[in-house]
Amino acid sequence: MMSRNMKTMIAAAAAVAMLAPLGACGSASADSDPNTLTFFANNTQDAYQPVLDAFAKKYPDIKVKFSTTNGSQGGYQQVLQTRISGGKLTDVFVLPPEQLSDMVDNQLALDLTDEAFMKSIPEANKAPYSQDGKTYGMSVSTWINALAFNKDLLKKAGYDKIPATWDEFIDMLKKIKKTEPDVTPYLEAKDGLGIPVEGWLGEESAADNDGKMLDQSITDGETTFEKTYGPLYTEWSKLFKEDVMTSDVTGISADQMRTEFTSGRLAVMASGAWDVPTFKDSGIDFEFGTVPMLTKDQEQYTPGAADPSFAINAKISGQKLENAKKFLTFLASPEGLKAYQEGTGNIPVVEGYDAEIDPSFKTVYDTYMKTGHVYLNTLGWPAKGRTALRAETFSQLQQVAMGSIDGTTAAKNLDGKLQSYK
Amino acid sequence: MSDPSTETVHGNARRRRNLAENLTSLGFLAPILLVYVVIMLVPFAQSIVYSFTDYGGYDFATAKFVGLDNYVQIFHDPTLLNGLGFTLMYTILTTVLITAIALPLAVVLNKKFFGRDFVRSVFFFLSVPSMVVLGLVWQYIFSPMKTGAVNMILDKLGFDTVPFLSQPGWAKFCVIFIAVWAQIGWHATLYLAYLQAVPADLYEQAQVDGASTWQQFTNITLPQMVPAMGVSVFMLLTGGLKVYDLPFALTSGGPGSSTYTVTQSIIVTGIGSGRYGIGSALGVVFFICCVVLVALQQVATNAIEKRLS
Repeated sequence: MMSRNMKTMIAAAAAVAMLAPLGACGSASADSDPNTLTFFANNTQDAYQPVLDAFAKKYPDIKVKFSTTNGSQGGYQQVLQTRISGGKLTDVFVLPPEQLSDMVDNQLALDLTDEAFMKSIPEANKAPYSQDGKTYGMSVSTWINALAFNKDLLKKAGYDKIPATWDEFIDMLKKIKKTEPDVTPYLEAKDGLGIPVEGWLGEESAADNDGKMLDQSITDGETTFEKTYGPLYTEWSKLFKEDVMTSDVTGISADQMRTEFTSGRLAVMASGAWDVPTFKDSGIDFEFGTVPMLTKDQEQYTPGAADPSFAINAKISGQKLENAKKFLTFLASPEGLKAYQEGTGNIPVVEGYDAEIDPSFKTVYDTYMKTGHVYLNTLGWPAKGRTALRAETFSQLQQVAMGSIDGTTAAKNLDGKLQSYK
Repeated sequence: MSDPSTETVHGNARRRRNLAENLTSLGFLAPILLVYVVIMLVPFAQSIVYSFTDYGGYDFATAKFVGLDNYVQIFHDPTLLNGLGFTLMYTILTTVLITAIALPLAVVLNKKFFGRDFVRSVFFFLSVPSMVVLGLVWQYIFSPMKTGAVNMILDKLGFDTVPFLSQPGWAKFCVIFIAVWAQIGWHATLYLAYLQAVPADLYEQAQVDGASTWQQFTNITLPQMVPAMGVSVFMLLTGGLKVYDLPFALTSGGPGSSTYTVTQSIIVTGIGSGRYGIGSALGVVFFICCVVLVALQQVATNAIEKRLS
């Protein structure tokens, strides 16, 4: 028979065993070793490995502990938010523009304005990470959307590039459908619908709104989604009225769309530079074209923005802070940028650095990145509602795709949603 | 007749022994109670407090008291109401369908036939992969395009393709179908464990009395399975109410918001938007709904058990 002492000892051991995981929870995510930097990023370890390897080669005494969510951008923001709530912000982290004001207001991101590594960062990339004249994030690259097209399929329909206007584009899609009945003419991913609309909004902002983001005007109550987005959503819905994109699009993910394109079953898809390696591996003959505008005389714009920036935890100091600055200095150096582009596929726009541009992406690079003709509607929305409002945008456009509501109603519904975030 | 002083001595000894046993039990229970308090009760209490504030997830010291504003707002959000509707539909349908299929399946798997162990393993294996993985795989199987696995077969057979994930009704069907498909094996295994504890002589007796297979099932198997059903239904209800992974991986809550769930709302509308106050209010309301549903289920199970015993 087990003695009472033995029972007590087992109970105590069990208690210690149960408490061990809790003890682990309490350990700070920021490593106490001054030569160990913790880094939380919004991309996979594979994507950052070239940077980590090159940095380790240059600074063998500094160890970088990498962590990521392996999820979407929205997922990254949620985890970052949760980490901050739990007091687990890493030494260096990727700062999305949506979280800038909260980070600054809560003194979590270090002011980088006067740091030497910020001198070569273009103003367009500093702007989304600046508040009250100070810059808190170092964004070294810009992302843009463009339309990837299968050159062979377009050629069969009598085209060698994406037409300049929306009506011509729809005519082209109709011809593709006629010449190749088994081919899907055009697709956008279910959680990325309405890509041309954002390009049109960028143009309207620049031309008719004195450069102020139309979405900022909507947030400020000067106009509404119904007035601005409504007519553009109606134009976009022509894709369904003309039967060149079906409501199937509401059930297709970006990965599925990519598979269709690389298998030669899809002629045109909304995409970006990050897809270049996949397309090349598939062996298809492809190129990127610009987003068709509503009229010929409009300047060309596309969805895009400065990529999420690298920021330093404002709470760190001493040797750790010096090491964090070394890491950002390295990231902004030619050596770091080369490794960054190699791993992530993102295109660096740092002054004095000539990024390698794949020939298939050259046209859109010249049209949008060199001119800064990019627009991201969410940057004009209230910071607290961006993630949910963006999800609502896709939800509304899915309903337009299914024909259950029209473009004007979808835009009106967004006005209702916006009110709850003000 | 025993001496009263001796009884008092025995009583005291018994009380001391009981106290010692209780303390030992408490020693075993304390760690798990502590974990439960730290990771469940404390965060839940925090959520209740947050739900009456505009806490943004950064500094609670700067949060303002907003009364019931967060609760009012969530009941005016159509996306959330859609989410609540689909979550309830998912929970009820998966619970009913899985119970209706898993129980007869367990009876079949309890019989002797060639390859029985293999068949049992196959059904159980369905529940092993995570729902996220299943969602991503089934996305290709139920793709609404002609290249989707099911649509390709339908096309080859001369049928029209089906808009599986691109039409609200079909999308709901797909989510529920996959959830049922993935979970029946696990719940059948649970029933199987209980079935093996049913005394064989009950069936032998019934056979001698001339009871048919159906009569044996309804009069012996079903009543004996009530405790197992209580456990299974409880797990299905609680799992169904907090569902997030499968619909998110398969449809991302679409088309529109047709397969949106309450948990997705809490994450997207609350935490993801830095509105912990709203997210917490959603969590509290949802917790109350869960408690009511589970309490109803417990009352119903107890009533059935009493009636059949």
